[in-house]
Order: sequence, then structure tokens, then C-alpha cells
Amino acid sequence: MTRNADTLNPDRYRHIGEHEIRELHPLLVARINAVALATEKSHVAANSMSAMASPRVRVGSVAAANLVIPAKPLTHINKLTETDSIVAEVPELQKYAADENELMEATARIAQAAAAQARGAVNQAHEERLPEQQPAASESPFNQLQEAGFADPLSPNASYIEGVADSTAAEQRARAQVDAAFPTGSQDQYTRAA
Amino acid sequence: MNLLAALLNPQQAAEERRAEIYKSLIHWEGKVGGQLFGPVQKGGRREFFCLDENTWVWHEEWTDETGRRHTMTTRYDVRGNVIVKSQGDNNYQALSKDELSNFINAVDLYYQRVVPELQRMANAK
Repeated sequence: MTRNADTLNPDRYRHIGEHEIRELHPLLVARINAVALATEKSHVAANSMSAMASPRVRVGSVAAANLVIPAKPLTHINKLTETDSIVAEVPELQKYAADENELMEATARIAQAAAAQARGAVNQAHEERLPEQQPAASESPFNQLQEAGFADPLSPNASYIEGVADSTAAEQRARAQVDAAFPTGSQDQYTRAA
Repeated sequence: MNLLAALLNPQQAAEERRAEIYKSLIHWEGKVGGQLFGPVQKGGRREFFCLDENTWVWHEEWTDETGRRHTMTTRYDVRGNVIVKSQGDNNYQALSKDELSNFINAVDLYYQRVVPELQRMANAK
């Protein structure tokens, strides 16, 4: 028995009559549906209002006698955290978004200025280095390698695959020579030769 | 509608009977909903109920220290992405943050209390 059993006991409606019970059922279902729908809609609206209120929107400003706000599908509630979808609907948020854009642009300008300043400082430091401290072109590790006959390892023409293939072929040739030297040799002989 | 009228127009009698039952259901819901906000002042009356899928009603009656009787009916309209309320005349007002929080709590409690009972009755046939 629930705590409301005394106020909503099916026995209390016995006077309705057995023939009306069938008619009562749709009414109960209609009430259940109405309450469920009202609860769901209220949550959607409350969530929307909370989302709108959080970024500095004055809720009181929406008061109007002929206020008409079109209903949105339930999926819209998931998009309410996206600034652009809210901004499109709420005029108060447009100014907020404009402020946010200004802030973002100002931040970007400051960051760019800081980066340029840092680059300038680095360039100046390079320019101020004494000539003898600057490495000669031939001192560059890559230049030294190239002068020694090695290809630039960063060059797209460098083929390490060919080098690997060459080493594999040389190893095969060496093994072939060992096999030729010990054509019928035992494992011990082969091991010694290797 | 008396017995003779019901015999003469049974369809109208049935519709009136359904309307009466529907009204009594909402009246019961209002009593249950009125208990969600704590005790009611002696001699006072409070009802909170779901009128339809877009409307909630809070009706309160109380007597002040001077013995003067007061009645206040607050209607909460759910309009898409916003909830507005009207008291007395049709001057709509937005809900404050606290009122919105209290309202949604009351709606949840209402659902938890009312719907299981309605379902129990629907299954009791």
C-alpha cells in the first residue's frame, strides 16, 4: 500500500460503475501522458533557460506579454551548449558573442605581437654574434658529410633501401663463399668458418 | 444531468460523466501536488497540478493576520525553450533562477508521486 492509497484507492471509484471502468482507463492514460509530457517539456525549457542564463544573460529581459518562442525538437537541447546555436536565437547573447570575438581577436593580436617580438629578438641576437663565432659553411655536419662523399640523408634522392639491399646481397655472397668452401662440411665446420 | 435527461441523451450524459471524472482526477492531483511544498497553513488551501502538457497551476488560499482572505493562482506556461508565469492578469513574467530551480524540483516530485498512482489505477481495472 502506498501513502496515497487512502486518497486514490480504486475502491473509492467503485461508484463509477463497472461499465465505466473501461472509459476511465483512457482518461487515466491521458493524464499519465499529459503529466509525462509536461514534465519533459518543463525540463527542456528549464535546461534551455539555465544554459541561456549562465553566460550573463538577464533572464528578466525576456518578460513580455506576447512572448512567443518557437518550440525546438528535443535534440536541440544537446546543442544548447554550443555558443553559435544559442547566439542565433537570443539577442542578448549576440553582444556577448561579439565581446567574446573581440576578446579572441585581441588575444590573437597580442600573441602575434609577442611572437614577432620574440622572432626579432632572436634575429637580433644572431646578427650581434661575432663573425668568428659563426660556423663556417664547411663546418656544418651535413656539409662535412657531403664533402666526404656521403649523400645528404635528408635528400629525397637518398636511397637507404638500396643500401640495405646491397648489404643483404654482400652477406648472401659471403655465405655462398662459405658454403662453397665447405660444401659438405659439418655444422661445426660451418660454425668455425662463420 | 438528472436521470431523465441521461435517459434521453445518453451520449451527452456519458461525456459529462467523463469530464467529471477527469476533473476529479486533476483535483486529486492538485491535492497531492499541494503537499509537495510543505505544510499548509491552518484554514489555507494549496493545490499544484499539471493542467495540460504545457501548463502547470499553483493555487494558494490563505488568511493573513488581520483575518483577510487571500487567493493567488499562479500559472506556469511552458513555451518551447522558456517557462513564463502569470498571476492574476495576463502579465507574463520570467522565472528567477531560484524559482526555476524550485519549479523543476516540484515538477519532478509531482511526477514521482502522481504518475505511479495513476498507473496503479489504470492497471487496477
